[in-house]
Amino acid sequence: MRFGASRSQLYDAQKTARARWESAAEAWNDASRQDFEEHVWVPLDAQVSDVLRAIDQLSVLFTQVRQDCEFNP
Amino acid sequence: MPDGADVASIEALRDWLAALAVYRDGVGEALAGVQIEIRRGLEWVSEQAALWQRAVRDCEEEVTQRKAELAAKKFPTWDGKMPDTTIEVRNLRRAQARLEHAEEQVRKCKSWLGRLPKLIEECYTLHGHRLQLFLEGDLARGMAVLDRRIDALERYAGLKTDYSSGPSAIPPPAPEGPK
Repeated sequence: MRFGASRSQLYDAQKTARARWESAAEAWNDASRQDFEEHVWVPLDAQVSDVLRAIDQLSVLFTQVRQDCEFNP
Repeated sequence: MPDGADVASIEALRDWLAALAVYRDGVGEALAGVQIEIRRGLEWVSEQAALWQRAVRDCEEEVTQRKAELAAKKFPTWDGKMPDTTIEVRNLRRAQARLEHAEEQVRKCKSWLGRLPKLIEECYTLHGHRLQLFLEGDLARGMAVLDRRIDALERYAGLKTDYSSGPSAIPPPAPEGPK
């Protein structure tokens, strides 16, 4: 129930991919790039951001669970 | 946007395709990691519930013992005086308080165990599942299209003379982790 490692992995991967996309987009400026951007890159980036937010919510949820349930007689 | 190909560097596109494969694998690993942590979390709550349940039994035994100690002190002494039971009463109250606390903790653990699966689904599972499907569907198709396009550009630029369909340049996906 420690989501930090997976979150960091996802966050770092997204950050790297965004930088790589910027570089690629500079060398690629035709209709196929627009199509790729619209149908692959933008939805992928948005969904990764959604999952990052969802992981944050999971962390909050499990912090509450830990506080409520931890065995400390 | 121009109708024809406008690619300043085919190598940059190849690099991008390779980077995208690394990204795909990293995202897949992260999603698998989250699933493992969710499962661990649910198991952890079950373990805590079992520990608190055992504590309830221990506390019940202690309350029984403290009641017996108090009862043993309620007989008058040889000179007819009632003995001081202050300590026994205090011990019994403390044992009862510990029992109530342990029972409350069992209730909390069971409550979370009942609610957690739905809460996890609401806040995470739909997003994670949708992204996993995207990786396996739209992204895989997009990468295959891009790979073919790079091939075509390389042939057009004379970088590739072999017209036979060789193995894909897209690195294969990493082995799928547990979900």
